[in-house]
Amino acid sequence: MRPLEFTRWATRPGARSAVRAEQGSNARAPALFKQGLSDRALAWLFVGPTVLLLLAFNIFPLLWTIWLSFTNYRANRPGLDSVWLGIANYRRVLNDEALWEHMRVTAHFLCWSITLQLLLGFGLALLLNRKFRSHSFWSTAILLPMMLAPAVVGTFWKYFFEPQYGIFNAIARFLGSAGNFTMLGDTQLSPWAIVLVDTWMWTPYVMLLLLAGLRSIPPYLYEAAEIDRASEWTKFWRITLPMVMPFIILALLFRTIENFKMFDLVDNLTNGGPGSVTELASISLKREAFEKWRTGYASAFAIILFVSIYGLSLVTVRFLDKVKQR
Amino acid sequence: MGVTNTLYAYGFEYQNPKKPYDMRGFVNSAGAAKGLKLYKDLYDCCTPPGHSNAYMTEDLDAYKSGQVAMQMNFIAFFPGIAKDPNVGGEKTGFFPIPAGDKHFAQLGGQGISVVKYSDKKEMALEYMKWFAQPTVQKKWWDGGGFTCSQAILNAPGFDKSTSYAKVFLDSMKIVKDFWAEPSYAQLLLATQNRVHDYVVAGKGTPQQALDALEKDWEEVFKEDGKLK
Repeated sequence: MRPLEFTRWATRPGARSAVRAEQGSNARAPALFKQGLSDRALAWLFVGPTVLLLLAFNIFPLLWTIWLSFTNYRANRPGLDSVWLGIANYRRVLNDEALWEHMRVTAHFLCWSITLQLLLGFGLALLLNRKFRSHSFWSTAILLPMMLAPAVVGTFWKYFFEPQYGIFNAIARFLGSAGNFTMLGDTQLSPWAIVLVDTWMWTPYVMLLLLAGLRSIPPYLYEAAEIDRASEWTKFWRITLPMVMPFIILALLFRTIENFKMFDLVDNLTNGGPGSVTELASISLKREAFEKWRTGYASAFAIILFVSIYGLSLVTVRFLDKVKQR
Repeated sequence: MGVTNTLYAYGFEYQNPKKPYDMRGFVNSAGAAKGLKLYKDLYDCCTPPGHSNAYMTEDLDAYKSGQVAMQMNFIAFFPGIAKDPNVGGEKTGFFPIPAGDKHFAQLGGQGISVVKYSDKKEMALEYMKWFAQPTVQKKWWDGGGFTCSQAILNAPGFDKSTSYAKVFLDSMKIVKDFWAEPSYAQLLLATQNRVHDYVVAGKGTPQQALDALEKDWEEVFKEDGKLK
């Protein structure tokens, strides 16, 4: 690269004068390049493309979705004029009994999967925080499920649960079970099957976060507790748990956001069935938007879900701030 | 669509024959509820484990692998079953949907459509003319396809030409189609949701399922502007 091309972007006056000295005929060059770029312009140059992409792919679709939610627009009939409905779509969504049933299914999935992931993840993090032989091997092995694609995990567990030739029932029979479990076809078992698979996949992620929290606790706190002859329980209750609490809340926040919009894993496993007992809000939303093509109604539904997730996240973040201030 | 066979058999109608899109009392008649109850009884007693969301191919697998001794499926699969090394030939017999109080069978398959804004509309129409020729239809039937050509269907010996030819002839006399509407997908989805919720998930009664279905369909037709 020639020196001129390199120094054109320089903002230091010294660098600019060096360029002028070298290029006497540079007087005809555009004024912008003569003076160099200001810090502000340079910052915009770097941030600009990202801002443009954000506007194009996040902000504009969000605004458009908000507008569509007030109309009866249908994406599969673009030629038809859409009619302004006011808040009718929102009223319909909130009065839809089926939707509240899907929200209940989502709440069941959310509560149980996150509770199990936090408990198991914390337990595993406590175990891996100690030094033992083959520590690295176990750390990597435990992380494997979260490295897989949700579609792969869904398909894998579908075969695993298969009632006639699946390994799950083979194990159950080996352990003494008399009958077969139809994990994905039974209305009582399938809501638990999706919780089980999600827990299997995402517990390592929670464990990783909490392990980082455990490793950030200064050792002198435990040394001081030792001097005070504190019991193991006291050390856990008074030192470990309070110090890890911000990380627990972070894990809770991340997993809540992720599981609220959970789609691929459950869609692959049960497709919302049997009947609609595992039809999460996200699956229902996809059906309204891309199978029934009620774009306006689905947009209102999406906005309500967005506000719900945002509200939940806001509460969690405020709680996190309070915990950090203690 | 298997469920519509038992619904039709006990009096299910899509709409009032005298008043289009008037569905109340036709979709959710007492007879239709009886038909839906029969379908659930069949599901509960005779479906292989894990078939709560089985598609046509899973049904075929269940039959070919010996998990079930009998299956209800579209006639389009019969040539494949007849030729199957394990269950084909003499091992499988075919029969039309049995009668209930009435006798109907669900129509399957798709018609050929030509999109009016296509650049290749003439070509598509030419293809249809070629495909409708008796010689081509004969080859189509011999190769395992299905034909509506009267010349072939009424030809002597047609009913004995394959093990399922007579079933095809008998079934075509009693076929009934699902809604042929632009909102086909929404109407079918509503049916699947309501039927699945009752038959597979055991929610409510057959009457409640059909009442809800009737309301869903009303909503679809209202959105389409066909009902006020």
